[in-house]
Amino acid sequence: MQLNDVAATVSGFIRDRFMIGRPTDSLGVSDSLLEKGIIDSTGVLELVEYLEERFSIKVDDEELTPDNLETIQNISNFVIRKKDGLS
Amino acid sequence: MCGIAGYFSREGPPLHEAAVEPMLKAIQHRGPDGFGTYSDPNCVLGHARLSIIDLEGGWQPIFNEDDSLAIVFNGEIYNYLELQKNLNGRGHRFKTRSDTEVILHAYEEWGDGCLDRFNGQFSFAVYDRRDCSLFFARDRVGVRPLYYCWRNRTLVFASEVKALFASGLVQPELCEEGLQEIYVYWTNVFPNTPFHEVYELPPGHMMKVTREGATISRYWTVPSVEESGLDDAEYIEGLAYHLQRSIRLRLRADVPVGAYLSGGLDSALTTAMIRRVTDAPIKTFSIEFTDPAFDESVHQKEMVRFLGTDHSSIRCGPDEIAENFGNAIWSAERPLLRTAPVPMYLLARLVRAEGYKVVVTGEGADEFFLGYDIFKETKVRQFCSRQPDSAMRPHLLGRLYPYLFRDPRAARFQRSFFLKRFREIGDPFYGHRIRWGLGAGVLDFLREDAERISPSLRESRLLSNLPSGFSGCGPLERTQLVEIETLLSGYLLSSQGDRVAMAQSVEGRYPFLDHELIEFASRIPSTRKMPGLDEKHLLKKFGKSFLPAGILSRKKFPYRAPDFQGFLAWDRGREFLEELMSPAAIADSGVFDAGKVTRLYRQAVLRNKSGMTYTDNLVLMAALSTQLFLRFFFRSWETMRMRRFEPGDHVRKTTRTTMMEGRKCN
Repeated sequence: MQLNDVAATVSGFIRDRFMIGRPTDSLGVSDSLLEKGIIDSTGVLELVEYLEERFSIKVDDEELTPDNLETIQNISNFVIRKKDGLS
Repeated sequence: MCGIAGYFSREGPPLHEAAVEPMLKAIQHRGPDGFGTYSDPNCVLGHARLSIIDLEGGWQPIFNEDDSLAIVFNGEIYNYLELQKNLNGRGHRFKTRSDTEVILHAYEEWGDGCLDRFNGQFSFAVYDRRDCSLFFARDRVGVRPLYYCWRNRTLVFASEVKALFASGLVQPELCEEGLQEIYVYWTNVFPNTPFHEVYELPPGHMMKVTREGATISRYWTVPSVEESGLDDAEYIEGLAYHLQRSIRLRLRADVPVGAYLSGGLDSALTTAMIRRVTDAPIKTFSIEFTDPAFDESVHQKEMVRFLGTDHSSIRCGPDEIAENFGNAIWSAERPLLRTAPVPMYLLARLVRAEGYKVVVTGEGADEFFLGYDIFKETKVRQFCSRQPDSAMRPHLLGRLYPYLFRDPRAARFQRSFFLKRFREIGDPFYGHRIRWGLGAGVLDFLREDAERISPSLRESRLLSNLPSGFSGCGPLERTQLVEIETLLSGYLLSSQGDRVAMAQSVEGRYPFLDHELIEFASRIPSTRKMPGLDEKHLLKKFGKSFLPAGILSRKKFPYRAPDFQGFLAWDRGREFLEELMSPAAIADSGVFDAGKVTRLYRQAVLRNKSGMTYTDNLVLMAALSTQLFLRFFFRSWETMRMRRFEPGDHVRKTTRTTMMEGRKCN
């Protein structure tokens, strides 16, 4: 699984799910989803649900951190680490 | 689309045809354009016709080349033209341009293997005069009905149960187990009905009745989800292809075809696809509710403007619904825990009044493309079960039902409610556990000495109807399969679909239930159909290219009608309601505990609109509809039958009977 593919998939989900009616071209891989008001606290949970199902990973409560989930880049890296069993 | 009826016996005295006409009269609404019958000493076949294809020539029963086979058929075989060409090439000769005849020759050619080749919605009986056998089949998901009953070695069958009783050969007897299934599941577990020893041929099944006896077997199962590893764009391309093909097929008719526009995504898609495949003017129909909590007319109007359809709508208030609830029960032939079938009944009446016999409608999309909230609930529960001790995960429920979790004090209670037994991933009915728990509350109101069927027995019966791979599927897919079996086949297509539409002589056509589209949908992983909690994601994405943004961005608005509350506001019917729900009347019916039900009823009357819980509503709906159901089907049958049928002036009755010489088979 390539980082780029993960990023594209995650990005697609976030656009479709959290950015209805908002211009999506402004979403960069390093943009803070929380700061930009794209995802709120329950939205993060839905994102985690999606990641778990889509990528067959399991996320612990302790892993619900900005380092792992704040940007598309962070999320993608997190997913890759989980898939590689390094987290 | 039509009604079929008949009876069959290999033994005993020769059958007399006298019973078939009352049977056909009882289902005349399904076939107001005329009757046709066939009889010999072993088999009597009847058909009530609603002319849609080959208006001149398609009268039934239809015979094959040498009159050895006869068929009566209710439904449409959409790919009949292609099949006819194929069969012509194999030497079959056709006398009519009907799809009915195609079935007969296909059966001649391929035996029961013909069923795999049919794309349609159907219920039919083929009588083979040579070996004195009868072959029945029903379409894959149960759009068209078939009921039967054995009486002294005579098989009596019909499209609706009322025809069985009208024959005089079968007396109605209550099946308490059937009633209890309806209270919990809103439908029966195939092949049960609320009538003792009256059975329904399950969807996707055939029945062969021969010298040896009757054999029922399944010819189709909902395919299990098998990923085909494509990306969204490819899935959407496939969806576009199949939906378009499905719609094209379903526009085949010798009469004009209309469309329902509920204001939601599914019917917007089907209607917009019609616009894609034809330039002909489109006639659309919808329901407007006077109660804004249920009304979707703003969105309906948006679609009408967008597609430029010629639109008609009916306005439904609680009074109209209450007044026609009895009609819906008579049509559905079972108690109804929702009033939702009633507006559909009234809508079909509008369709008929405007001169249309056929409408295209969006059922099936929620089941096969994951539209329902119950699927999201299942996902959230499963999400929580992955980390049962997580304090965070249960908060996802607040995303699903924000209004329930707004008040933080109620939130904790709600969480424990939705997370009941959430760890039990292996529970076959994981997704339905909560819902059925509420439904079982109705059973607490049965009379004390009522024999209660154990839930595990009831569930094991349901389990045996589900596909063989069911237990190996994940919770989401299991929930989906159960919804298809119970909600779709058992309720939406019957009580809310065929029965109420055909009561008005209107045929519904369901593009999302095209079996090739269903099979295509099964090759799409669930996480694409519903990523996170985004319902019908692929359908919405597909619709983006040709539907107005307003329709796409709507949250799922479940089609509902006001339930028991509506009856409480029904001034005109106050006396009637009081009598039906009186302690004496409830006790007399012998199903519910009169004390408990009437206490609940009185409480509801006092409080009127406030304070009625979900279960209260279910109990009162169950009790009220059971009262009506028992009166219609178990009181003096003759008087009820006479009162229900007023021949309209659009009915032209012709009876053609072909008497064939023959002795009873050995």
